[in-house]
Amino acid sequence: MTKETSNPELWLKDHGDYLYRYAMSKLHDEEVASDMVQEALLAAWKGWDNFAGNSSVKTWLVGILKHKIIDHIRKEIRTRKLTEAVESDPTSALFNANGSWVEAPASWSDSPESLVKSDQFNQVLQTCIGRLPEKQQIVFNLRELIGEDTETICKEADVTATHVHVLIHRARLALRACLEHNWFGGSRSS
Amino acid sequence: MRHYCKEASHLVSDAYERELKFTERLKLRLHLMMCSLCREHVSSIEFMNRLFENIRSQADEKGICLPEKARKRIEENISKAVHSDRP
Repeated sequence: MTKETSNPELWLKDHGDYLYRYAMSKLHDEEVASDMVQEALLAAWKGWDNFAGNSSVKTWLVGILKHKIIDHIRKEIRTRKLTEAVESDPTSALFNANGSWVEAPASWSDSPESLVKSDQFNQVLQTCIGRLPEKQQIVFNLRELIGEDTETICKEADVTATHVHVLIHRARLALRACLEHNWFGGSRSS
Repeated sequence: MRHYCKEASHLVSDAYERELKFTERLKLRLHLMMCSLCREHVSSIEFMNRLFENIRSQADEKGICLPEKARKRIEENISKAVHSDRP
C-alpha cells in the first residue's frame, strides 16, 4: 500500500465525484450535496491524524461524509420541529368512512431491479418523494435512502418510535399512491 | 360492514419497523386472507422495499458527477483553508 498523505485537493480530484454521488443519493439537492462534500473534505483534512490507515482513504472519507449528512438532517429535523404533535391524518383520504380503500390498489408489473435503472422512473420517484410533507420526507429519507433503522432515527430526531412509525407508514401510503398514479397507470379494478 | 383495510395498511408498514404483537399478526393475517385489495397493497409495499434496497446498493454506481461549478468552489475553499491554517 502506498503511503497516504493529507491532501484534500487530491482527494477532491480523485474522490469528488464518488463523494458527491453518495451525498446526492441521500439528499437529492445539488447544493446541499456539494456543501456536504466540502465539509467532509475539510473535516478530513483537519482530522487527518485520526486516519488509522486500515481502510482506504476513500472509505474513510465516505464515513466522514455520512456523519456530515446525518448532522445536516438532524439540524433540519430540529428547525422543522419534528417533535410537534402528529398533524391530522393525511391518509384518511385514501380510505372510505367504513375503512376500506377509496381506490383499489392495482398490481405493479415491473420489477424493482429493472426500474432502478430507468432514468424516467427515477424522475417520477424523486417527484413523488419531493411531494411528501416535509416531516414524512425527512424520516422516509433517513429510513429508506440512508438505510437507518427506526431506533437510530428516534435518537437522532428525539421522537418516539410510534411517531416515527406513523410518519413512515403515511409516507409509504402516499408514495405508493403517487407511484401508482404517475407510473403504474392507476387502473381502477372495481 | 366495517372494513379493516385502513388499520391493516398501518400494520403492514409497522411490520417492517417492529415486531408485531401476536394479536396484530393474527388480525392482519385473517384480513389478508379475505381482502384481495390489501393483498395487492402488501405486494406493492414489498415492491417499494425491494426498490429502495436496490437504490441503496446502486447509489455508488450511478454516473452523476460533481458539477464543475461546485468543484471549483470547493477547490477554492479548500485552498483558502489549507493556506490560512496549516494543521
